[in-house]
Formats: sequence, C-alpha cells, structure tokens
Amino acid sequence: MHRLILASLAVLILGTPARADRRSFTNTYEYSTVPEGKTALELWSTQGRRTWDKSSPQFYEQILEIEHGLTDHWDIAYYTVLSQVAGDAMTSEPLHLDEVRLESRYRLADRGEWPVDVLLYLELSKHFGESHYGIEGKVIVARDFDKLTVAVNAISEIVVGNDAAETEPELAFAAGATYELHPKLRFGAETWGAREEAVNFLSAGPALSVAPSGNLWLTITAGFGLTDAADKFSARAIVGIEL
Amino acid sequence: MTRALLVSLALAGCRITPPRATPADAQRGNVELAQLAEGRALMVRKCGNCHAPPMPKDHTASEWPAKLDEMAGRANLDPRQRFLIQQYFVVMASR
Repeated sequence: MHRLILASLAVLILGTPARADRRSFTNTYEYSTVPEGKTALELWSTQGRRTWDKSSPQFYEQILEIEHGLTDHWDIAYYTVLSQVAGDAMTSEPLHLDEVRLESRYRLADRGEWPVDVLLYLELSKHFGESHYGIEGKVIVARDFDKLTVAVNAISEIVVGNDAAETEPELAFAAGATYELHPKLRFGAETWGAREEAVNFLSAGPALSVAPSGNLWLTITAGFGLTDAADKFSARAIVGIEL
Repeated sequence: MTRALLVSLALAGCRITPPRATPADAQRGNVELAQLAEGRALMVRKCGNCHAPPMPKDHTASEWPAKLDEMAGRANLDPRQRFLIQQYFVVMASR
C-alpha cells in the first residue's frame, strides 16, 4: 500500500512532462516574463515572526497577483496585498487590504544573448486609505550554468506622500541559486536583505520549487534572520497557475 | 581579487547557446538556411521567456514533435512559429 502511494506521488510530481514557467525563489526574481498573450495567476502566502519569543507578534501576508505578457520581453502585473498581525493589544491588526501594486518587467535581450541576462523591473504601490505611494525599481541579472541558475537583484525603493514617514531611498538586494534536479523539481537557496536608516536586515534559507503539472507550480522558501533586525523566521509559498 | 574577477569574466563570456544552422544542416534537412535561422531565433525568444533555451541534442529528432506538443500552448506559438521551431530542432538534432 505504501509503495502504491509513493509510486502515485512520484508520478504526480515527476511523471508529467515538460518544464514549466515558474519561480525558483520567492524573494529573488529571475530572468523571465510571461509569454506574449498569456495570463497567469499567483497566490503568495507569507507568515513569520519577529523573534523566537513566544509573545513576539506573528505576521501574515496574502498577495493575489494577475500578470499578463504584453510582448515576449515585457509583461505587466497587478497585485492586491492583504495583511494581518497576531500579537498583543498594541500590535495586533486584523486581516485588511494593505496595498495595491502595479508591476512591469522588461527583458533587455533574449536569454543567453548577453554574458549575463538583464531584466528591468518597476513597481508602483499605493497603501490603502493613506497618502503613501511607493516606487520600487530592480535590476535583475541572471545566468544559467546548464542546470544551475543564479540570479541577483539590486533593489531601490522610495516612498512619497503626506503619510510617508521616510522619503530617503531604501536599498535592498536578493540573490539565489537553484539547481534543476528534474524538470519538475528545483532546489536551491536564496538570501535577501535591506539597509534602512543604518540598520541591516539579512535573511537566508532554502528554496524548493515543484511543478506537478504544466500549468501549476508551487515554490516555498523558509527564511531565517541573520541579523538582529531581521525577522527571525519567515515562510513564503507561491502557487502559480497559468491560464 | 584580480584572479576572482578574471574567473568571473571568463565564466561570463563562455555561454553555451543553441547551435546556429550551417549550409550543411540546411542541405541535410532539405530546408532553407534562412528558415532554420528564423526557427532558432523564435525558439530562443519564445522558450527563453521561462527557461534556458533547450539544445537540439536534448532529444532525438523523433522526440521533438511530442515535446513541441507539450510546450507550444504554454509559449503561445502560432502554427507557423511552431513549424519553424520544430523544423530547427528536428534538423539540428540529427546532426
């Protein structure tokens, strides 16, 4: 019976053919855009805690993203972000609409044409119910070494608006490496961090990506804080559905 | 530091990309060289949206049509694009 279940799982996970359009990481962007004329849905779920202390607030974020390929090099996406904080009376926040985002990505060349592939990313965000607008830019460089893919993101964000507490640009980064164990299974690690007001945030953890079928994939990262200011633990899962 | 930089540059410079068709490939496949070149360019553009462009040798010539069946919808290929990409793979796989 166990053998039958294991065999069924193996067929489900590994037996279906072909590679899929999917993420290998949940924080690091890679060199891909949605194919021209295609549309995809992504559901992001993130949970974490500031410290290991039992009384530490735990946060939850849910993102629904719909993305569409305008050309073979350029796509556009719309996000709604819901968030919740579970903590004491001072820190708790019920599940609420946090912000909406508009994102666009542009690949500067076909994959493999340049020594490293370069993608430009621009994101505009608006916090719900506040005069708080974000403009985030990323330069994404990536390269495939046969079955190994490496990607590095340089990120800068500026926040503007009457309710914006900080208007200085924030610098951040993300980087990851993943290995294709099977066309349906990739395993790697990623790290991400930021520097805000002379404080460093740095996290890292393993990243697993599985594509049980051609139109569905799941990517999970567990992140562990490496600096005092970083969240001690976070877990993010992204489910992608190609329409 | 200098050595690390040189190694990085060397790695960055030597990317393995799908082979370009030659007149001999066109003659062997009994197709026009320009069509093979167009098929390769389309393949790099369409497949490279999501993953590294595959090499013709990843599958045999007889396996490629079935692989294209799987991927053509996801890459949103029209019939002509699919034909040219398949032709490139089939001809180049039998090198």
